[in-house]
Amino acid sequence: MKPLKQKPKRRGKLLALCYAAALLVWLALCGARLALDTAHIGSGELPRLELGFADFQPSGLFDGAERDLPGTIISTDPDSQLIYEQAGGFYATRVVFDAAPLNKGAGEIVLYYTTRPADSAGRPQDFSEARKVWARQDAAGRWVFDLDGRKVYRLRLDPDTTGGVVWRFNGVILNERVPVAFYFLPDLRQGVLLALLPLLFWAALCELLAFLQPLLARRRFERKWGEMGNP
Amino acid sequence: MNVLLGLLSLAALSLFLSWLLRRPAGLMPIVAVSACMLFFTVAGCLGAVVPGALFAGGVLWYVLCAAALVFTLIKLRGKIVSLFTPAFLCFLVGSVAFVLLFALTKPMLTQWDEFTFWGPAAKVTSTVNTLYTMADSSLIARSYPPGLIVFSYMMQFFGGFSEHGYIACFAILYLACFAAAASVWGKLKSATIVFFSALVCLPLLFEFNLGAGQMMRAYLSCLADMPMALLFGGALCFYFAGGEKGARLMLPFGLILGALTCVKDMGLALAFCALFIAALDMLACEGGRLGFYKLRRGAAFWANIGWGVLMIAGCYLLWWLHLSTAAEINRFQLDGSGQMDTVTMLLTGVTMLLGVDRSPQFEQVLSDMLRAFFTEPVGLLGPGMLVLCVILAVTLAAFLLSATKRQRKRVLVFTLAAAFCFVAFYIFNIFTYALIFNPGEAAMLREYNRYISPYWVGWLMGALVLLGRAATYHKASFYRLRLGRAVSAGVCLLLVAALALRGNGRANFLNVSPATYTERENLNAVAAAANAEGAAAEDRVYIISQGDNGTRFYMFGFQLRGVRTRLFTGIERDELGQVVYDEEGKALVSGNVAVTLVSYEKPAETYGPYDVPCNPEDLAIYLAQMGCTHVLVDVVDATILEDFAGMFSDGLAGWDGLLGRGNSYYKVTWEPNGSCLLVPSQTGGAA
Repeated sequence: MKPLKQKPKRRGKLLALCYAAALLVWLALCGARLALDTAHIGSGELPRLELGFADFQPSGLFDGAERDLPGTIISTDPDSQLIYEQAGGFYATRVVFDAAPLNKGAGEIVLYYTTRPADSAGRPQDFSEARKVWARQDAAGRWVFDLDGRKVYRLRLDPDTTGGVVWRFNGVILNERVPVAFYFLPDLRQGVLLALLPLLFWAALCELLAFLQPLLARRRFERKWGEMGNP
Repeated sequence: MNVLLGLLSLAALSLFLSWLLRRPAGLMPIVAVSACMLFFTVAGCLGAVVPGALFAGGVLWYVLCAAALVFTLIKLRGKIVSLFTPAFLCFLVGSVAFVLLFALTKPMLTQWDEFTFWGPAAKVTSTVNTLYTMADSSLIARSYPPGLIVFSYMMQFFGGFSEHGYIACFAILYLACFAAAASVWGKLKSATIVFFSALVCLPLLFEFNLGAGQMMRAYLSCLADMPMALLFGGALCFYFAGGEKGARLMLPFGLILGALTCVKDMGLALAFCALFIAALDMLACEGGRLGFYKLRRGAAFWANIGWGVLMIAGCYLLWWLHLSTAAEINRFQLDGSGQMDTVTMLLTGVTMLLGVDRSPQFEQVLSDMLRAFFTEPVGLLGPGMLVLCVILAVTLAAFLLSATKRQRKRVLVFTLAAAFCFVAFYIFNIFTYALIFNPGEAAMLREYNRYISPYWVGWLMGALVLLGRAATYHKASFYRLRLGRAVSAGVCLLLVAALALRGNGRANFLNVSPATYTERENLNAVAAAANAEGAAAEDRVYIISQGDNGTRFYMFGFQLRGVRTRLFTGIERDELGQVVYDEEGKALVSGNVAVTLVSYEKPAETYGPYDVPCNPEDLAIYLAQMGCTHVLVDVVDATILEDFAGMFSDGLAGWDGLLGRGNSYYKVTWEPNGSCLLVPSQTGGAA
């Protein structure tokens, strides 16, 4: 029953192949995104915009200047929102919320986006949990959302889920430029997945081969030896 | 990183046990964890009689584990390498990965229950080397069983308590349970990896209390529900994957059941469920093969069952004894609207179930619970009905792929026994909702999936292991084995895919948003300010945190090292506004747990849920009565600034209600005329 044994060497090679393939897929995806963004920047469709409080439609938020706290915004509601839209839609990469909660915790800082224009009746697409990005924090302590260069129609920034937060607010940057290396460096989650998924894929492939190989091998075996009556 | 030493002790003990019990090492981490929980529970309870017993237990534990490692190394020499089965390696590598990941990302506790019990209990136990029931601390509820707390104590014995280390302990416990299940695959690397991956997804798939749009807290959460669920599943997996049923399997099985009882009160019910399932299996499928040392057949059966019952009851009674003697808490008294003990609850529940004197709440809960089974989602997969379908599909596959009659019978018996226990478990939960919960909580079936899901998780794990057994049975035909592996891998990949599809877009432990921790960071800054202003370990502190719902109060109780916090509960006043005193001359407290002080002039109908009327006189009485030595000012509002500023020697200079902060930490002093004056505790004078 020689052909039915597992061959460790070949399995090892297969594992290396899985990792190589994952790396290639990763590089290809990153390269594609970089190329797309570069093209959009070249055609002027991806301008870097600095937005102030006045550029948003706020809800549950007011300018701290009204309470003698210039340079701040104050949320009054656990569901406070800053909505930004451009009628024809726009490409969005990195959105930076340059702000810090001063008096209490923020809970969650998230960004919703819509990917379809308003319908014929003029109703915009609803924001949904499926189109939501969670804030990361960069080295300077600013809150960062990556929208991956997709075309969006409206953005909704929810600064906090606690209400009553006084925010030091330096504005929002739309399409912050990032260095090329950023496109290729995985974050923690991507890094862990890049390390684990090829292994899982390899294991699944091995299971599939363990199922198929003996079937194939036996057929080959029978074709070769069966007619001689000497299996 | 100190957790790695704890992990090393678990690994050492696992290797030794693997040699001692003649079973694959992958099965042993769950036994080592259980042994640890029981060992330290006993040591902790002994601490009531022999001070320092817990610490001595810790030293002894590490010495014993080191000895076990040396012994195994000498005994087995080079052969020790063969003990490192794929499942055991998955446990080791996964655990180290989790420890490193959490040391890197430094997750923090964020949930309410983590601050009311699980966090502070573990922290105080590690800090003062005494079980939390007896340590002087801010803890209010102390009756919860100690399994997880003492496990964390052992893991963080060197280097002291850290939040991320504590969180890593939970992940290690989970992986120990998964390794026991994955051991069913023996030396098959790829099959183990696929199986283990699916199990790692389970806590995420069955996350309890996952609100719409919330991040997934599995692997970050330090509540006892998931550990209990996985220990229940792990016990079943250990039994079914563990090979021949003799003393070498059933003695450690009893340890796991004991640990299950020590993790959470409900663990007692699940431990009995696991024992019941194992008992039926032994009865129906083992027969003559059963052994317990020299005992055979019936005698062996009763010995095995007796050992299990002994461990469960022993652990339960030990903790009951400890609570009633050392901590003076009656364990049988359940809290809630019903105010009844467990036995009365069961009797009342059964009579009501039979249709006698049903209360409206019982009727309501009964129909709600039946409906919830079909509609209420438990985790990401969907409602219980759907989960049941998944489990039955896995079981059916195991049944069809089983090579022998006995194996098929085993699957059948497992399914019937597990279903029977599930019905009993479900009815037990109906009783608690109907008789213990208050009507408001019962009407919404509060935290339904947190109570029910543990059973689903355990059942699914058991079914997966039976499928694995069918696919690894050495006498089965070649094609049946291959088909079994393929089907099992398919099911596992479907579970992984389900998580990828249903959990998509949610943040989880790998990409948790730092915004989650802003509340803690803000609070930690205040605590640091208080420490800088001279907070000391022996202080009794009253916290002014206006607008809080208790969250910050409990967080301070956790965060301020050694400092005991107190919660204002209102001073009783009669119609004329006079303070009411009892016979001993103590002012009566009204008993409302409240954290926001409001003026007596505020109309009572506008009170928020955490408001309590208070004036400086009340506060002074309260501070004196509670023996508070200090006041921590966290958040002030107009009421504090207008009514209470006179109590502070600096008149709360610097505080303006929104952003302006003055001193945080004040010392309580008493004027010769008996009035209370709060003086900044900072020695360097007012900032």
